[in-house]
Amino acid sequence: MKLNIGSGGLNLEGYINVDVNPDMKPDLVHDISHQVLPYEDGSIEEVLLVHTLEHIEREFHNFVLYEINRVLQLQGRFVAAFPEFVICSKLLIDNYKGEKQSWERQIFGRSTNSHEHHRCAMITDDFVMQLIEFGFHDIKAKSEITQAHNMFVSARKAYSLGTRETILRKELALDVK
Amino acid sequence: MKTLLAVNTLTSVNVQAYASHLNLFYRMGKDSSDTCMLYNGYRQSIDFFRNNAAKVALQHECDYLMFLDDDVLVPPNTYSVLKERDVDVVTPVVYIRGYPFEPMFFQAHSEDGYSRLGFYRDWKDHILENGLIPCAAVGFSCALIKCSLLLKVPPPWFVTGVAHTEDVYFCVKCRQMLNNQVNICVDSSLHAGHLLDPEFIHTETRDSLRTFYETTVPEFLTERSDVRVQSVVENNIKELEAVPSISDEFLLELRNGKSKIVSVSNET
Repeated sequence: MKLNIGSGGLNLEGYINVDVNPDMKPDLVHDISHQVLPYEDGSIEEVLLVHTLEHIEREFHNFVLYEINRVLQLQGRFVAAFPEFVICSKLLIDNYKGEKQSWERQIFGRSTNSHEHHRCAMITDDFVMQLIEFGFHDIKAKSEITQAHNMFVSARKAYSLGTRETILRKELALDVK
Repeated sequence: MKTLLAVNTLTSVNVQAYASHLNLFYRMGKDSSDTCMLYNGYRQSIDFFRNNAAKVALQHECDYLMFLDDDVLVPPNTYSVLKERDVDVVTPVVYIRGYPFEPMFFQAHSEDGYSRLGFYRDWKDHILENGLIPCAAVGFSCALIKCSLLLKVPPPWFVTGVAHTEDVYFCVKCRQMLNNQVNICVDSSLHAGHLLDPEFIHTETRDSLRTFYETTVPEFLTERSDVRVQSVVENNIKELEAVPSISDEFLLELRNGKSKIVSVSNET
Protein backbone atom coordinates (compact mmCIF):
# COMPACT_ATOMS: atom_id res chain seq x y z
CA MET A 1 0.00 0.00 0.00
CA LYS A 2 1.36 3.44 -0.96
CA LEU A 3 0.21 6.88 0.13
CA ASN A 4 0.31 10.13 -1.84
CA ILE A 5 -0.35 12.70 0.87
CA GLY A 6 -1.36 16.18 -0.30
CA SER A 7 -2.53 15.03 -3.72
CA GLY A 8 -3.99 18.46 -4.51
CA GLY A 9 -6.27 17.20 -7.26
CA LEU A 10 -3.50 15.32 -9.06
CA ASN A 11 -4.33 11.75 -8.14
CA LEU A 12 -1.53 9.28 -8.81
CA GLU A 13 -2.16 5.73 -9.97
CA GLY A 14 -1.06 3.00 -7.59
CA TYR A 15 -1.37 5.28 -4.56
CA ILE A 16 -4.04 6.10 -2.03
CA ASN A 17 -4.40 9.81 -2.68
CA VAL A 18 -4.92 11.81 0.49
CA ASP A 19 -5.85 15.47 0.76
CA VAL A 20 -7.38 17.80 3.34
CA ASN A 21 -9.56 19.47 0.70
CA PRO A 22 -12.55 17.35 -0.43
CA ASP A 23 -12.85 19.52 -3.56
CA MET A 24 -9.65 17.87 -4.80
CA LYS A 25 -11.52 14.54 -4.93
CA PRO A 26 -8.89 12.46 -3.09
CA ASP A 27 -9.40 8.81 -2.15
CA LEU A 28 -9.19 9.87 1.50
CA VAL A 29 -10.05 13.27 2.97
CA HIS A 30 -7.63 13.70 5.85
CA ASP A 31 -5.76 16.46 7.67
CA ILE A 32 -2.25 15.10 8.08
CA SER A 33 -1.24 18.00 10.33
CA HIS A 34 -3.79 17.16 13.04
CA GLN A 35 -5.17 13.66 12.50
CA VAL A 36 -3.64 10.25 13.06
CA LEU A 37 -3.41 8.33 9.76
CA PRO A 38 -6.04 5.58 9.66
CA TYR A 39 -3.49 2.81 9.02
CA GLU A 40 -1.78 0.19 11.18
CA ASP A 41 1.83 0.60 12.28
CA GLY A 42 4.25 -0.60 9.59
CA SER A 43 1.51 -1.19 7.01
CA ILE A 44 2.63 1.23 4.26
CA GLU A 45 5.46 0.60 1.82
CA GLU A 46 5.86 4.13 0.47
CA VAL A 47 4.74 7.64 1.39
CA LEU A 48 4.90 10.58 -1.02
CA LEU A 49 4.69 14.14 0.23
CA VAL A 50 5.07 16.07 -3.01
CA HIS A 51 4.79 19.82 -2.50
CA THR A 52 2.85 19.34 0.73
CA LEU A 53 5.06 20.03 3.75
CA GLU A 54 5.46 23.70 2.87
CA HIS A 55 1.67 24.02 3.16
CA ILE A 56 1.77 22.87 6.80
CA GLU A 57 2.84 25.10 9.71
CA ARG A 58 6.26 24.11 11.07
CA GLU A 59 4.86 23.36 14.52
CA PHE A 60 2.99 20.39 13.04
CA HIS A 61 5.93 18.92 11.08
CA ASN A 62 7.04 16.72 13.99
CA PHE A 63 3.56 15.23 14.20
CA VAL A 64 3.50 14.59 10.43
CA LEU A 65 6.94 12.94 10.41
CA TYR A 66 6.04 10.88 13.45
CA GLU A 67 2.93 9.57 11.71
CA ILE A 68 4.85 8.76 8.53
CA ASN A 69 7.47 6.87 10.53
CA ARG A 70 4.72 4.98 12.33
CA VAL A 71 2.80 3.77 9.28
CA LEU A 72 5.85 2.95 7.15
CA GLN A 73 7.30 -0.56 7.04
CA LEU A 74 10.95 -0.95 8.04
CA GLN A 75 13.00 0.19 5.01
CA GLY A 76 9.81 1.70 3.58
CA ARG A 77 10.46 4.69 1.38
CA PHE A 78 9.50 8.27 2.12
CA VAL A 79 9.80 10.85 -0.67
CA ALA A 80 9.26 14.56 -0.16
CA ALA A 81 9.44 17.33 -2.75
CA PHE A 82 9.33 21.03 -2.02
CA PRO A 83 10.49 24.39 -3.34
CA GLU A 84 13.91 24.94 -1.75
CA PHE A 85 13.62 28.21 0.13
CA VAL A 86 17.32 29.11 -0.10
CA ILE A 87 17.28 28.82 -3.89
CA CYS A 88 13.88 30.44 -4.43
CA SER A 89 14.67 33.44 -2.24
CA LYS A 90 17.92 34.01 -4.14
CA LEU A 91 16.07 33.78 -7.45
CA LEU A 92 13.46 36.26 -6.20
CA ILE A 93 16.05 38.76 -4.99
CA ASP A 94 17.94 38.46 -8.28
CA ASN A 95 14.70 38.67 -10.29
CA TYR A 96 16.00 35.64 -12.15
CA LYS A 97 14.69 35.46 -15.74
CA GLY A 98 12.68 38.60 -14.93
CA GLU A 99 10.05 36.37 -13.31
CA LYS A 100 9.85 37.97 -9.89
CA GLN A 101 6.17 37.09 -9.47
CA SER A 102 6.83 33.47 -10.25
CA TRP A 103 9.62 33.23 -7.63
CA GLU A 104 7.40 34.98 -5.13
CA ARG A 105 4.73 32.34 -5.76
CA GLN A 106 7.33 29.62 -5.24
CA ILE A 107 8.00 31.05 -1.78
CA PHE A 108 4.55 32.10 -0.63
CA GLY A 109 2.43 29.76 -2.70
CA ARG A 110 -0.46 30.53 -4.96
CA SER A 111 -3.46 32.14 -3.38
CA THR A 112 -6.37 30.73 -5.34
CA ASN A 113 -7.62 29.01 -2.18
CA SER A 114 -6.62 28.92 1.48
CA HIS A 115 -4.88 25.54 1.13
CA GLU A 116 -2.44 26.85 -1.44
CA HIS A 117 -0.56 29.24 0.86
CA HIS A 118 2.93 28.18 1.90
CA ARG A 119 3.27 28.29 5.67
CA CYS A 120 6.94 27.56 6.25
CA ALA A 121 10.33 27.77 4.57
CA MET A 122 11.56 24.35 3.49
CA ILE A 123 15.35 24.20 3.70
CA THR A 124 16.88 20.92 2.59
CA ASP A 125 19.73 20.93 5.13
CA ASP A 126 17.33 21.35 8.05
CA PHE A 127 14.88 18.82 6.66
CA VAL A 128 17.59 16.16 6.33
CA MET A 129 18.60 16.65 9.97
CA GLN A 130 14.96 16.36 10.97
CA LEU A 131 14.61 13.09 9.03
CA ILE A 132 17.48 11.59 11.02
CA GLU A 133 15.80 12.61 14.26
CA PHE A 134 12.64 10.87 13.11
CA GLY A 135 14.22 7.50 12.45
CA PHE A 136 15.11 7.70 8.76
CA HIS A 137 18.34 6.78 7.01
CA ASP A 138 19.61 6.23 3.45
CA ILE A 139 18.81 9.86 2.76
CA LYS A 140 19.22 11.19 -0.78
CA ALA A 141 18.62 14.70 -2.05
CA LYS A 142 18.52 16.00 -5.59
CA SER A 143 17.15 18.95 -7.52
CA GLU A 144 14.10 18.20 -9.63
CA ILE A 145 15.03 17.23 -13.19
CA THR A 146 13.47 20.16 -15.01
CA GLN A 147 12.95 22.66 -12.16
CA ALA A 148 16.18 22.96 -10.20
CA HIS A 149 14.61 25.18 -7.52
CA ASN A 150 12.52 22.21 -6.36
CA MET A 151 14.18 19.51 -4.27
CA PHE A 152 13.36 15.82 -4.13
CA VAL A 153 14.47 14.11 -0.92
CA SER A 154 14.07 10.39 -0.28
CA ALA A 155 14.75 8.39 2.87
CA ARG A 156 14.05 4.94 4.26
CA LYS A 157 12.67 4.09 7.66
CA ALA A 158 15.55 2.84 9.82
CA TYR A 159 13.64 2.14 13.02
CA SER A 160 10.30 2.77 14.70
CA LEU A 161 10.13 5.74 17.00
CA GLY A 162 7.99 3.97 19.56
CA THR A 163 4.75 5.25 20.93
CA ARG A 164 4.14 8.90 21.60
CA GLU A 165 4.07 8.07 25.29
CA THR A 166 7.58 6.57 25.27
CA ILE A 167 8.93 9.54 23.35
CA LEU A 168 7.24 11.93 25.76
CA ARG A 169 8.72 10.04 28.72
CA LYS A 170 12.19 10.26 27.15
CA GLU A 171 11.77 14.00 26.57
CA LEU A 172 10.58 14.50 30.14
CA ALA A 173 13.51 12.47 31.45
CA LEU A 174 15.92 14.62 29.42
CA ASP A 175 14.29 17.76 30.79
CA VAL A 176 14.70 16.52 34.34
CA LYS A 177 18.40 15.90 33.75
CA MET B 1 4.85 59.49 -36.95
CA LYS B 2 6.79 58.58 -33.86
CA THR B 3 7.24 55.05 -32.55
CA LEU B 4 8.88 53.69 -29.44
CA LEU B 5 10.26 50.19 -29.91
CA ALA B 6 10.60 48.55 -26.50
CA VAL B 7 12.77 45.44 -26.12
CA ASN B 8 13.05 43.85 -22.71
CA THR B 9 16.42 42.17 -22.24
CA LEU B 10 17.10 39.86 -19.35
CA THR B 11 20.85 39.38 -19.55
CA SER B 12 21.95 38.80 -23.12
CA VAL B 13 20.23 38.23 -26.43
CA ASN B 14 20.45 35.02 -28.43
CA VAL B 15 22.40 35.48 -31.68
CA GLN B 16 19.41 34.52 -33.87
CA ALA B 17 17.17 37.05 -32.13
CA TYR B 18 19.90 39.71 -32.35
CA ALA B 19 20.23 39.22 -36.12
CA SER B 20 16.47 39.24 -36.56
CA HIS B 21 16.09 42.45 -34.54
CA LEU B 22 18.91 44.19 -36.43
CA ASN B 23 17.14 43.39 -39.70
CA LEU B 24 13.92 44.78 -38.27
CA PHE B 25 15.61 48.02 -37.12
CA TYR B 26 17.19 48.41 -40.56
CA ARG B 27 13.88 48.00 -42.36
CA MET B 28 12.12 50.32 -39.90
CA GLY B 29 14.53 53.07 -40.85
CA LYS B 30 14.60 52.22 -44.54
CA ASP B 31 10.88 51.70 -45.17
CA SER B 32 9.48 54.78 -43.45
CA SER B 33 10.29 58.32 -42.48
CA ASP B 34 8.96 57.68 -38.98
CA THR B 35 11.01 58.64 -35.96
CA CYS B 36 11.79 55.38 -34.25
CA MET B 37 13.25 55.25 -30.76
CA LEU B 38 14.63 52.20 -29.04
CA TYR B 39 13.86 51.57 -25.37
CA ASN B 40 15.69 48.77 -23.57
CA GLY B 41 15.05 47.35 -20.15
CA TYR B 42 17.50 45.14 -18.30
CA ARG B 43 16.42 42.40 -15.87
CA GLN B 44 13.05 43.98 -15.18
CA SER B 45 9.89 42.02 -14.48
CA ILE B 46 7.85 42.10 -17.63
CA ASP B 47 4.89 44.14 -16.33
CA PHE B 48 7.22 46.71 -14.73
CA PHE B 49 9.08 47.03 -18.01
CA ARG B 50 5.94 47.35 -20.14
CA ASN B 51 4.48 50.03 -17.84
CA ASN B 52 7.74 52.00 -17.99
CA ALA B 53 7.84 51.70 -21.78
CA ALA B 54 4.25 52.96 -22.02
CA LYS B 55 5.12 55.98 -19.84
CA VAL B 56 8.18 56.77 -21.98
CA ALA B 57 6.11 56.48 -25.18
CA LEU B 58 3.53 58.93 -23.82
CA GLN B 59 6.19 61.34 -22.50
CA HIS B 60 7.69 61.47 -26.00
CA GLU B 61 4.25 61.85 -27.58
CA CYS B 62 4.69 58.73 -29.66
CA ASP B 63 1.95 57.52 -31.98
CA TYR B 64 2.85 53.86 -31.57
CA LEU B 65 4.40 51.65 -28.96
CA MET B 66 5.91 48.45 -30.29
CA PHE B 67 6.87 45.62 -27.95
CA LEU B 68 9.40 43.06 -29.05
CA ASP B 69 10.61 40.36 -26.67
CA ASP B 70 14.24 39.29 -26.79
CA ASP B 71 13.27 35.71 -27.65
CA VAL B 72 11.16 36.52 -30.69
CA LEU B 73 12.26 36.31 -34.34
CA VAL B 74 10.35 38.56 -36.71
CA PRO B 75 10.24 39.14 -40.48
CA PRO B 76 12.18 42.34 -41.33
CA ASN B 77 9.06 44.13 -42.65
CA THR B 78 7.03 43.49 -39.47
CA TYR B 79 6.76 47.16 -38.47
CA SER B 80 5.46 48.49 -41.78
CA VAL B 81 3.03 45.58 -42.25
CA LEU B 82 1.59 45.95 -38.74
CA LYS B 83 1.35 49.74 -39.02
CA GLU B 84 -0.53 49.51 -42.29
CA ARG B 85 -3.27 47.57 -40.47
CA ASP B 86 -4.21 50.74 -38.57
CA VAL B 87 -5.84 49.00 -35.61
CA ASP B 88 -5.49 49.58 -31.85
CA VAL B 89 -3.41 46.48 -31.17
CA VAL B 90 -1.99 44.11 -33.77
CA THR B 91 0.46 41.24 -33.56
CA PRO B 92 1.87 38.59 -35.89
CA VAL B 93 0.94 34.92 -35.39
CA VAL B 94 3.06 33.78 -32.42
CA TYR B 95 2.98 30.52 -30.48
CA ILE B 96 3.59 29.98 -26.78
CA ARG B 97 7.06 28.64 -26.02
CA GLY B 98 6.22 25.34 -24.45
CA TYR B 99 4.34 22.18 -25.37
CA PRO B 100 1.64 22.00 -26.74
CA PHE B 101 2.61 25.32 -28.37
CA GLU B 102 -0.79 27.00 -28.25
CA PRO B 103 -1.35 30.21 -30.24
CA MET B 104 -0.56 33.29 -28.16
CA PHE B 105 -3.89 34.95 -28.89
CA PHE B 106 -7.26 34.34 -27.37
CA GLN B 107 -10.93 34.24 -28.18
CA ALA B 108 -13.75 34.96 -25.76
CA HIS B 109 -16.02 32.17 -24.56
CA SER B 110 -18.37 34.56 -22.74
CA GLU B 111 -20.97 37.00 -23.97
CA ASP B 112 -19.23 40.05 -22.54
CA GLY B 113 -16.27 39.33 -24.80
CA TYR B 114 -13.51 39.16 -22.20
CA SER B 115 -14.33 37.43 -18.90
CA ARG B 116 -13.66 33.88 -20.13
CA LEU B 117 -10.83 33.44 -22.61
CA GLY B 118 -9.46 30.43 -24.45
CA PHE B 119 -6.64 29.75 -26.88
CA TYR B 120 -7.64 30.64 -30.43
CA ARG B 121 -7.01 27.10 -31.72
CA ASP B 122 -9.27 27.37 -34.77
CA TRP B 123 -8.00 30.79 -35.84
CA LYS B 124 -7.50 29.63 -39.43
CA ASP B 125 -11.30 29.38 -39.77
CA HIS B 126 -11.81 32.97 -38.64
CA ILE B 127 -9.51 35.00 -40.85
CA LEU B 128 -11.27 38.03 -42.31
CA GLU B 129 -10.92 38.95 -45.99
CA ASN B 130 -8.27 41.52 -45.13
CA GLY B 131 -6.18 38.83 -43.39
CA LEU B 132 -6.87 40.01 -39.84
CA ILE B 133 -8.15 37.79 -37.04
CA PRO B 134 -10.13 39.78 -34.44
CA CYS B 135 -9.21 38.51 -30.96
CA ALA B 136 -10.38 39.08 -27.40
CA ALA B 137 -6.78 39.37 -26.22
CA VAL B 138 -3.27 38.86 -27.57
CA GLY B 139 0.21 38.27 -26.19
CA PHE B 140 2.68 41.14 -26.53
CA SER B 141 5.86 39.30 -27.44
CA CYS B 142 5.64 41.28 -30.71
CA ALA B 143 2.87 43.86 -30.78
CA LEU B 144 2.16 47.27 -32.25
CA ILE B 145 -0.08 49.36 -30.01
CA LYS B 146 -1.59 52.77 -30.74
CA CYS B 147 -0.59 55.20 -27.99
CA SER B 148 -4.06 56.75 -28.22
CA LEU B 149 -5.29 53.55 -26.56
CA LEU B 150 -2.91 54.11 -23.61
CA LEU B 151 -4.53 57.51 -23.09
CA LYS B 152 -8.00 56.02 -22.90
CA VAL B 153 -7.26 53.67 -19.98
CA PRO B 154 -5.52 54.67 -16.76
CA PRO B 155 -2.24 53.12 -15.58
CA PRO B 156 -1.12 50.62 -14.53
CA TRP B 157 -1.68 49.23 -17.99
CA PHE B 158 0.12 45.95 -17.36
CA VAL B 159 -0.27 43.77 -14.28
CA THR B 160 0.84 40.15 -13.98
CA GLY B 161 -1.56 38.14 -11.84
CA VAL B 162 -1.81 34.58 -10.59
CA ALA B 163 -4.12 33.55 -13.40
CA HIS B 164 -3.27 36.04 -16.15
CA THR B 165 -0.29 37.55 -17.88
CA GLU B 166 0.29 41.28 -18.11
CA ASP B 167 -0.64 41.53 -21.80
CA VAL B 168 -3.98 39.76 -21.35
CA TYR B 169 -4.67 42.03 -18.36
CA PHE B 170 -4.18 45.07 -20.61
CA CYS B 171 -6.48 43.74 -23.33
CA VAL B 172 -9.21 42.81 -20.85
CA LYS B 173 -8.88 46.16 -19.07
CA CYS B 174 -9.29 47.99 -22.39
CA ARG B 175 -12.33 45.89 -23.29
CA GLN B 176 -13.92 46.48 -19.87
CA MET B 177 -13.26 50.21 -19.71
CA LEU B 178 -14.00 50.99 -23.35
CA ASN B 179 -17.07 48.80 -23.53
CA ASN B 180 -15.41 46.54 -26.10
CA GLN B 181 -14.78 49.49 -28.42
CA VAL B 182 -11.21 48.41 -29.05
CA ASN B 183 -9.80 46.66 -32.08
CA ILE B 184 -7.37 43.88 -31.13
CA CYS B 185 -6.19 41.70 -33.98
CA VAL B 186 -3.65 39.21 -35.22
CA ASP B 187 -2.27 39.65 -38.72
CA SER B 188 -2.45 36.20 -40.31
CA SER B 189 -0.02 37.23 -43.06
CA LEU B 190 2.82 37.71 -40.54
CA HIS B 191 4.38 34.85 -38.60
CA ALA B 192 6.95 35.34 -35.87
CA GLY B 193 9.18 32.70 -34.31
CA HIS B 194 9.49 32.15 -30.59
CA LEU B 195 12.84 30.81 -29.48
CA LEU B 196 13.05 27.53 -27.64
CA ASP B 197 16.59 26.32 -27.21
CA PRO B 198 18.06 26.00 -29.80
CA GLU B 199 15.07 25.55 -32.13
CA PHE B 200 12.19 27.99 -32.39
CA ILE B 201 8.45 27.56 -32.52
CA HIS B 202 6.82 29.01 -35.63
CA THR B 203 3.81 28.19 -37.78
CA GLU B 204 6.10 26.10 -40.00
CA THR B 205 7.80 24.21 -37.17
CA ARG B 206 4.88 23.77 -34.79
CA ASP B 207 3.57 20.43 -36.05
CA SER B 208 6.99 18.79 -36.24
CA LEU B 209 7.92 20.06 -32.77
CA ARG B 210 4.69 18.73 -31.34
CA THR B 211 5.43 15.33 -32.91
CA PHE B 212 8.96 15.43 -31.53
CA TYR B 213 7.79 16.16 -27.99
CA GLU B 214 5.01 13.59 -28.14
CA THR B 215 7.27 10.80 -29.34
CA THR B 216 10.42 11.47 -27.33
CA VAL B 217 9.34 12.94 -24.00
CA PRO B 218 6.85 10.59 -22.30
CA GLU B 219 5.26 13.18 -20.03
CA PHE B 220 4.11 15.10 -23.10
CA LEU B 221 2.15 12.13 -24.41
CA THR B 222 -0.91 13.44 -22.72
CA GLU B 223 -2.10 16.88 -21.71
CA ARG B 224 -3.72 15.45 -18.55
CA SER B 225 -1.87 17.16 -15.74
CA ASP B 226 -2.21 14.28 -13.25
CA VAL B 227 -0.55 11.89 -15.71
CA ARG B 228 2.22 14.41 -16.32
CA VAL B 229 2.75 14.85 -12.58
CA GLN B 230 2.89 11.05 -12.14
CA SER B 231 5.58 10.93 -14.80
CA VAL B 232 7.53 13.79 -13.20
CA VAL B 233 7.35 12.12 -9.77
CA GLU B 234 8.34 8.70 -11.13
CA ASN B 235 11.24 10.10 -13.17
CA ASN B 236 12.56 12.06 -10.21
CA ILE B 237 12.32 9.05 -7.88
CA LYS B 238 14.17 6.96 -10.47
CA GLU B 239 16.89 9.62 -10.67
CA LEU B 240 17.10 9.68 -6.87
CA GLU B 241 17.78 5.92 -6.80
CA ALA B 242 21.00 6.52 -8.71
CA VAL B 243 22.10 9.26 -6.31
CA PRO B 244 24.44 8.09 -3.51
CA SER B 245 23.07 8.35 0.02
CA ILE B 246 24.34 11.21 2.12
CA SER B 247 27.31 9.81 4.06
CA ASP B 248 27.61 9.85 7.84
CA GLU B 249 30.68 12.09 7.54
CA PHE B 250 28.74 14.60 5.50
CA LEU B 251 25.82 14.49 7.91
CA LEU B 252 28.22 15.28 10.74
CA GLU B 253 29.59 18.25 8.80
CA LEU B 254 26.01 19.31 8.08
CA ARG B 255 25.13 19.13 11.75
CA ASN B 256 28.19 21.21 12.64
CA GLY B 257 27.37 23.75 9.96
CA LYS B 258 30.57 23.04 8.03
CA SER B 259 28.79 21.83 4.86
CA LYS B 260 25.57 22.49 3.05
CA ILE B 261 23.52 20.36 0.66
CA VAL B 262 22.09 23.40 -1.02
CA SER B 263 24.28 26.38 -1.58
CA VAL B 264 23.68 29.10 -4.13
CA SER B 265 26.36 31.12 -5.81
CA ASN B 266 26.19 34.85 -6.31
CA GLU B 267 25.92 34.30 -10.04
CA THR B 268 22.59 33.08 -11.38
